[in-house]
Amino acid sequence: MAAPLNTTLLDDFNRGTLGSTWTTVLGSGLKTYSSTQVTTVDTTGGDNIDVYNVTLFGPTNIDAYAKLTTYGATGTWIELNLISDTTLGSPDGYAYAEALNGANNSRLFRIDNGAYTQIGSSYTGWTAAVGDYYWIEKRGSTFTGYNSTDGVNWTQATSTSDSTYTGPFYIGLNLPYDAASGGIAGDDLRGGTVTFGYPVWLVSA
Amino acid sequence: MAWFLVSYKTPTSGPRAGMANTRVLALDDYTPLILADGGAWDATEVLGNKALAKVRASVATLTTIADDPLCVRLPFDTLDTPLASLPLVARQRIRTALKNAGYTLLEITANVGDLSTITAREALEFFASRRHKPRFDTVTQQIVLDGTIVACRSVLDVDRVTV
Repeated sequence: MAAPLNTTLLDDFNRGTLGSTWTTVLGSGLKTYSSTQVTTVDTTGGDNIDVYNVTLFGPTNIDAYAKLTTYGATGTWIELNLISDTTLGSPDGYAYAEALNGANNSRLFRIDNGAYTQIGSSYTGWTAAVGDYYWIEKRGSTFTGYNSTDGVNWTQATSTSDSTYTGPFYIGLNLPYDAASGGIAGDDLRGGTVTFGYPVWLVSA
Repeated sequence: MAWFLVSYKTPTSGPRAGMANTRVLALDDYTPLILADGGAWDATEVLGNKALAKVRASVATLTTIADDPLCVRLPFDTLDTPLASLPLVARQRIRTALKNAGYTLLEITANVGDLSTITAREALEFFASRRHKPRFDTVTQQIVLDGTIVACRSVLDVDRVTV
């Protein structure tokens, strides 16, 4: 399946700081940005969206893409978020996440006040690799997650309908810690230095 | 084809593994088996931190899933099953599940009676008539189901998707 044609490049994160339409989440820790990667030092143990765009998209149709160009040996997952809460203290919305490092598992989640609930079945047929692209698609109340090695040919990983939240949404990115660089294993992101990809976002509203 | 009442749990693998603010359905552990059968599953969240799920898979896989205490197989396979065809004890178990989920005996009786005059579809539609919006309590590090009442995804929608 090919990506929609009516897409626009939102940001390629090719500068040393976030673009003016992006911001980070209070409570998610300190973050630095280089020309080759985005790094977060999560000092609070928070698990909110790490960075998000302050523009609202949708509500009916939204596509958010990210390219993963690097991740640590113990990196755990990449996650694309569609969120409705501007403060992000207790976000509502949806997320598509793909496990890294051979875990081979893609899942869609509904987010309610910061609680993540899986919707639909997972997909275990994808082995994540550096250079992969990930896409969350919203068409009305149907959410679909796709994976791709080239950004052109896409594999549908999981899809389901949920009309709890209609949008519009902000787009967020959550890439949790890399334990190899100082994180603590388990259910806590506290203290981890997150070394993750070089996301490219393309969006059609 | 089978219907299950499934519990949520914290994921132990895959994305968000081990995260206290995350729930996945226990049924998802069997997704590889279901897909290997050429099958599928889908679900709607209901009251009581559970979901009603429909699974299309081989008999062997359905039996394996039913052995999981977190995946309780319901005593019918299709929504048009008249519950009068079930043994009394099976209907009582469904009523108990409704009560355990959070419905009062008064509203159970008012909406579905003793289940002897309705179909499986009507029973499941009542089961999926409301749920609480979850939230993550950062103090206790638990997902708490005490939020506003919200609508459930339609049982018929789940049934259609997994035909």
